[in-house]
Amino acid sequence: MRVALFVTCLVDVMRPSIGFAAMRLLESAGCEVVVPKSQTCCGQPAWSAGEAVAAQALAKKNIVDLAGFDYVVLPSASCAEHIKNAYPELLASELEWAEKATELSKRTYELTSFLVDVLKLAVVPGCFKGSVTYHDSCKGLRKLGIKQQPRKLLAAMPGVFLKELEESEECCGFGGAFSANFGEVSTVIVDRKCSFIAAAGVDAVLGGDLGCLLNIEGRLRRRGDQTKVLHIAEILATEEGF
Amino acid sequence: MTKKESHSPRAEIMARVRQNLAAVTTVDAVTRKSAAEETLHSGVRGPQPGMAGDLVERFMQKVESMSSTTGRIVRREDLPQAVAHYLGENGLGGDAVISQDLAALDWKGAGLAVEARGAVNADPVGITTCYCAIAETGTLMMVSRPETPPTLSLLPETHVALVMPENIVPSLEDAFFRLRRDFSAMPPAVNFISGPSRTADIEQTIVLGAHGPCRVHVILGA
Amino acid sequence: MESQALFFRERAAEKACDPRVQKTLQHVRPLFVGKRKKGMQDLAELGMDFDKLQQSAQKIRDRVVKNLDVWLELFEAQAQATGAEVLWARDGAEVARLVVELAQENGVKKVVKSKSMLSEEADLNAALAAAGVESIETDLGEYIVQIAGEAPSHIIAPAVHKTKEEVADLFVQHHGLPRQNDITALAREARGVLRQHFLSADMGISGANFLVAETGSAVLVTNEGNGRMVTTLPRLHVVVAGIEKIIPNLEDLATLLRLLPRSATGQGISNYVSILTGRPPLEANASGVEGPQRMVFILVDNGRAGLLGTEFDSMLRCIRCGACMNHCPVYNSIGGHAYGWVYPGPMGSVLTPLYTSLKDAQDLPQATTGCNQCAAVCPVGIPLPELMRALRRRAVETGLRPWSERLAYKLWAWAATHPVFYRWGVRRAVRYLKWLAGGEEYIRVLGMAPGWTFGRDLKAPLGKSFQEMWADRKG
Repeated sequence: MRVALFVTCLVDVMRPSIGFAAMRLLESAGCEVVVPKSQTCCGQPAWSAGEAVAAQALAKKNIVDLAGFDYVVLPSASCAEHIKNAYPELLASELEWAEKATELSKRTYELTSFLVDVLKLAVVPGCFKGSVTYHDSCKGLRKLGIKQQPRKLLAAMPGVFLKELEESEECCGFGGAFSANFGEVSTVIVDRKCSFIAAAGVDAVLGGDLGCLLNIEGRLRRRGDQTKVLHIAEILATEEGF
Repeated sequence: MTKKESHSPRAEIMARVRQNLAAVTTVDAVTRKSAAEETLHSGVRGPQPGMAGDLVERFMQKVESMSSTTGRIVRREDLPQAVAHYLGENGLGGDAVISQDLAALDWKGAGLAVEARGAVNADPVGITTCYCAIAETGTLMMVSRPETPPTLSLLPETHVALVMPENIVPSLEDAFFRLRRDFSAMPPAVNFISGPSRTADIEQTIVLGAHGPCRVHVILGA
Repeated sequence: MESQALFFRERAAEKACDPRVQKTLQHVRPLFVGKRKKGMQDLAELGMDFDKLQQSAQKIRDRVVKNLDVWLELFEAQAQATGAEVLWARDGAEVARLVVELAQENGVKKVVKSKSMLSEEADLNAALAAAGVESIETDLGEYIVQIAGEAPSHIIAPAVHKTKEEVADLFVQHHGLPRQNDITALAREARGVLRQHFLSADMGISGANFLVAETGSAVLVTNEGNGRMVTTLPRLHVVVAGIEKIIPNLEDLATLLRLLPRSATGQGISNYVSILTGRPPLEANASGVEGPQRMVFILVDNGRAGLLGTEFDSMLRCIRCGACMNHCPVYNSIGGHAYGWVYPGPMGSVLTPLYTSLKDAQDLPQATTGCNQCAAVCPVGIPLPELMRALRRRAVETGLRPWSERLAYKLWAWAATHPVFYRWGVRRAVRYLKWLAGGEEYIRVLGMAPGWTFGRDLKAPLGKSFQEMWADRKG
């Protein structure tokens, strides 16, 4: 099965390790992984900002670039959701493109959802040992129904002890441009999240979206809190010496 | 239509409403109005809870959970004694105002001084029957008529209500069904009462006894 | 009320950094969220499904919104048939004018009001005061903010931002009675003070949670009993209600009543539900009969008709439960006053731009994380995040956004559709961010996004983009 890995713009710039971890996971599950070189961004920042023309242009580009793959997998619920749910909507006025968007939507998945719901993965290559807690991203939880999948995958790692985070389903306050445009408000929200993380007293806090993770990590460090902040892919595909 | 009428607030608002709706309605107004008129009296109910078990017991439990107290009598004639007992136990005095339909009972014999009239501010206790009661929510349904003035359950600090078991219905929908059946015109006020008045407006802390009665005592008849 | 939404950005930042505001917000938040949760659990225990109820409620509201012309006529005809009068007001100023006229025609010196957010839109109390009519709020929360000279900060709990000490201070100032220190005593004091007003008022003004077309009635959903007082004791009862408040019949009322109190405060039913209907003057004026002699409805537009037939018409379904703001991470971080107008939180972020000015209020629909909690808890399924995004889109398409922002998105979009240039740009960005960290692991000040580094560090990238590293690995 040919899987296109869309690493996302944030991962590309800020944390390539997540892209490589996702690749390792998919390959260990037997997929042929292709990283389409022409990928740039799914276009969500434009759509969210009300820049419909830019969002439509990016949607069309990605529909073309991602044609011909059995599946498209992203290590981000937020970006996957945009492709799955928003593409058909933002291209609704152009019937041909709307149909292509719907077709792409059917084969696009967030990483943990793909591993569990499609590949039914039972074994993961990672060897992390330690206690972790999990932050449920809003788009993943409320729009894509991602809740059990990361937990199932973590349960497949004998060295990992998962402690549920209080208010795990509450927003972390990232919200894309919101975090920069309303920095003080965003800080109040993420600070609350970090208080619960501190109270959990774990080695690492995990999530499925780099936006959330950068936000949480940034606040933890400002609070002098050195809890590791990792994408779930990095845990599931930890290499030796991690 | 005169110029004045066509520029009246009503005319302008209706014109704006019609104009904006025209963008999305494909069916003409006359047809839509007929359909709407049918809906008015359709009696079609939305999702309702199933209510297993004894309706009366359920009602009494709900009433208590909403911070009212309860009592029971065996015969209607026992009401004055039951009320006197409740008032005595709680130090609430012996004066009350009552609804007309309770006037024939022997209040004097129970040591209570009552008047069958609407309540004024000074009246400490109001005693009423109720039109019906709803088991789903532990609610009393009171209908404002000249013989059942609404102030009886509003102004006094204490409200005592007699509920007859045959008047306990499962849900609001059932209460409305009866209302339509029994009244040719809508009474000026239909009040659903589910306990003592309350507020949480200071620090989200619940206080019983806001502007309406501070305590409600529900007596189940037989 | 004049909108202060123009100052939202500054106010939001102020509130976020105000320890007193934060303390109150943190205290209140679990109460609202917890109460609704319990309310939904009770619903499940009754064997009911929230989703099904929500769909039913949505249908009821849509039936009227999509056919408002017809339902307005039906409601008006029935209300008039019962003996009530029906007046119409195009905007807030007209509401105020009509109410003042009614007061003057009827020799009204004192008005008692139960809660009406629409009357806040219309600045009704100020208009009455200017006409020499005393108008007293009787919902305890509204009374508190009235004597404090403030606007309500929440549509269900207007004084939620006040501590009991602040309330005690206000009461001492305005009642001239010895200071009370506990909440029960404060409530008792308010009861005594307000009761005198109930008994001496000439006119009662209420809003309406619903207007029932079948019976031509107003429905009030309250807990305190002030709604009953206001609509029973004075000789004239005026109902001020938006045109969108109409529902078809009593069965629909029963369905909506299963959702409204549970969504607002978790209660299975509010303590008082009052259905108020007009009656013929002969009956109303008969001696010894209680209740108002005259009932007047004022049906208000004030921007509502403008939503019909647009992508925003779902907003008219709103039954004013407050669940959206109770579950909003932004509202819970700044409180209601920052929003600058009558309605705060997600519903305010949609209504304020639409009812007042998108230009002045455009920051409200910007201030969202898109978490979707509001839409998830809305009992009538209003797609609030989508409506907010549609407003952001409208702001872009009507030229309201700063040119620098538009240019930035244009440049970025061009780059993102030209992969070779994009990859080059990313390589520059990665190196720049690494350089900004100055050899440290974390960037502490980010000039191009000071809002981020206000409260957070940013872990610097390690030196190469994913695409670069992948290209290297492939060789």
